[in-house]
Amino acid sequence: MAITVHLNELLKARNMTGKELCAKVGITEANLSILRSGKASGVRFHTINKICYYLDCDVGDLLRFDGQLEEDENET
Amino acid sequence: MKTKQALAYLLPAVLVVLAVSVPLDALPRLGLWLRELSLSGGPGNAWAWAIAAFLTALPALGLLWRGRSCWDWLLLLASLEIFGGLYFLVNPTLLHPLAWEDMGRLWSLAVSGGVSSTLLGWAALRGLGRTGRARSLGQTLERLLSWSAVLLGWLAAWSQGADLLDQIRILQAGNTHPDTNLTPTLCVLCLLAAANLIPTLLGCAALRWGGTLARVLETTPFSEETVALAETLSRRCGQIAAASVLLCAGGNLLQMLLFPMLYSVRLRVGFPFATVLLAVGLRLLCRYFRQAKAVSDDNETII
Repeated sequence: MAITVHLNELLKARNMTGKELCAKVGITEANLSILRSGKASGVRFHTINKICYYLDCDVGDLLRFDGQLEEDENET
Repeated sequence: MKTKQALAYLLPAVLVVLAVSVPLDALPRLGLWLRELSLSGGPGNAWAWAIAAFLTALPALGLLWRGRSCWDWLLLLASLEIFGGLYFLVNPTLLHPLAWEDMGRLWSLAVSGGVSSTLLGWAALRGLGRTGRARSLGQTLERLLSWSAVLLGWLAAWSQGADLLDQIRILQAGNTHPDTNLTPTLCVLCLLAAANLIPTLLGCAALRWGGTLARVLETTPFSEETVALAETLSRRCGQIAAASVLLCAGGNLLQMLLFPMLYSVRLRVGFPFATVLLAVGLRLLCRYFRQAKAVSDDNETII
């Protein structure tokens, strides 16, 4: 995947569980799991804003680009 | 609940039968009775006017319906129609100088047709205005389609039955030779009546299924079950259209094959426009449902 989500590292660094983050951000644990596993097709700015706020990090700490171009499944 | 539903289905059928059968006998007699009452003296005349005023005011019961509507003036129109109808039932010579024997029944039919169409129009327009504020539009549409299906089916069956009886009567009246075998002609007439009625009844079933789809659409518009239901309905509408065309062609073919034995033929060229349009429309809707479902599923993965 071209954009990777580094949520696990941030949660470990902040000593926070996924459940606590869900409660603060207002998303379900199922959605958080989708985000962690990299299966989400998108994240709303509002959600990123809240995650960064409660984990005290930058967007670049949460999401990283690996330099690859991912094929769009809908166009193939 | 099932008894209530059954009654809800029977009630419009009963009302329709009453609406058409009552005027032919009861209204002319009412007119005669009011006339006799009016001519009986001062008190009788007052009573006749009081009864006429009461009947004229009946459409005003519609004002008991909650809220006012810009269509309430139709109730006034219905009252005027009732008053005019009663006045000329009591005074038939004022309606036409000749006042022939059947005029009372014809005038009664005209009045009942005018009044019922005005009141039905008022109810329909008011109901239409309320749908915008309905909490559950899907359920409202389901009920409307179900009632329409039952009413249309009943009217079609009654109309076809009356037409068949009329044809049989004409055939028998025109048969002056005692040895003539009318059985094949009568059988074909019955089969044709059934062939004409079946597509309408199937169309009524399609309306009922459409109501179910409307209710399901409101609760789960993007579910797999909804899409499957729409596809099933589309397929069934296509089958109904095919059945309509085949029954029509079959009826004509039967008459062609039995032509030497028949004393009455009724050839018909029909095309089930409504059912075909419904089938095509539903197929297009299914395509949109699939696309919308794909968008909805994709949207679910956006956190």
